[in-house]
Amino acid sequence: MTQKGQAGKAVGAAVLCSSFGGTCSAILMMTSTEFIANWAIAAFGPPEIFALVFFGLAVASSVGASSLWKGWLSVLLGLMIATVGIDQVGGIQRYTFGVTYLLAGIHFIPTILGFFAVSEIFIQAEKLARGEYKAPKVNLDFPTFAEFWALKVAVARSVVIGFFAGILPGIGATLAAFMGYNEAVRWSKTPERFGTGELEGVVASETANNAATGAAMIPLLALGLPGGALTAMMIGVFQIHGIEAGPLVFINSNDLVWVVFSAMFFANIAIFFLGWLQTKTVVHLLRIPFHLLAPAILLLASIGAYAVRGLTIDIVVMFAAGILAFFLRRSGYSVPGIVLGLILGKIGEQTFAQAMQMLHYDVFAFFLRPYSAILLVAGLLTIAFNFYKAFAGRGVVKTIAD
Amino acid sequence: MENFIAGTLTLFGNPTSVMIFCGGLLGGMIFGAIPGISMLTLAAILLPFTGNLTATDAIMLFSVIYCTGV
Repeated sequence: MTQKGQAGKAVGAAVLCSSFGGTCSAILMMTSTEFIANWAIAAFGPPEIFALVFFGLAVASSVGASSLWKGWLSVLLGLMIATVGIDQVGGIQRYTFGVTYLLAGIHFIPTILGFFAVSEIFIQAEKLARGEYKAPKVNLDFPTFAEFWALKVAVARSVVIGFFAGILPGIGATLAAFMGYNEAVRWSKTPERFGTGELEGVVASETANNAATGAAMIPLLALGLPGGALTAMMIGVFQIHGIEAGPLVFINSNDLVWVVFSAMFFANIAIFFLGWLQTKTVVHLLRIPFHLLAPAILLLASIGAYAVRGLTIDIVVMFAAGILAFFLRRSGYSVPGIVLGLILGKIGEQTFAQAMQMLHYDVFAFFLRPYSAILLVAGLLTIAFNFYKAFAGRGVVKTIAD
Repeated sequence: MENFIAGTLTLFGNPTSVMIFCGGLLGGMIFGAIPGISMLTLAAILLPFTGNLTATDAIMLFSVIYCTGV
């Protein structure tokens, strides 16, 4: 698009479609989430939630890393970090090595700060040192109504793809954008023009990734299950406030849910106006040189890591996690996969313990309950299918960066 | 629909919530636009400080960042 001298129009179409896709997704989310939550309250107990966590981990392991093995290793590393500390059920110390700090477990906030703030800075700093870093340029020019109307099929298709990609755990917005673009290429009569400035490609991916946002809130709020890195952080926010994310949120804090829904609806509409504003004023903020931005982010991250519990060792943990994540990302492991393993691991372990008590320690009783049986079998099939695909020689190269 | 209206009124009836809403919009947009740094970086930095907000404001802030930052 830039080569064709139409960069402005591409940005305009992207802003318009982001807003449209997000708003559609928000409306679908508002109409369906409460219904799903009510169903989940009636049908879901600890065994079903455990089965859902299992399914989520099975999906998360197959996307995001450069190979299936690395995907699994990422998720398993997250699960391992989740086990550090005193076992919630039996009170046994695990992986503490006699260190007092580790008794309470590794706190997820310094870990997440390290994974997403510190490692990001390192990666950008490396690019800067190699001269690959580019300062952004933004200008904007909206497509005409006729041009937009011509793309209505692509937009509608991407809304549907984005929405379903968002609902599934572990896929998320970035992959939704990918899938939206791929489908647009596949359905197009002139696929060879994609990547050379075809408005349809921009529109397809931008609509799909915004359509995934509202959809990703459905499993989070209705089932307490995060699908990506940001929704996993939201589970963290719920935990900070002592609220258990899940269907009961609709009963215990119904006003919270609707404030969030309304905020998402208006945020998506605001994207349209902000996109316009961005080109006039906010664009100057984007010119902040990276060598000023990076220390500011590291400083804020350090303050944040310390502020949680007032422990300096949390800052050390943050930087250790950052350095670890830097190397893991460079070698193709999935950082969102680790975070999903970490968050889902804790939920999964707790619900498994509850489920075992409920089912009188009979593992096979999981398969006697219809929904938990379906979800466990779906998880097993996902794993089997991905291993089959990996052995058949086709690698799984996808991303769950959101 | 009634729930939606009630939610909207709560959101825009409270000055603190409106400020957080607008901050989230701008923050998500800026961090989403700076190359290499994503809205995840912003969300990670803000995560420790959400303890000072009410649960509603905190979740609302994250969902707004999510919407504008992708």
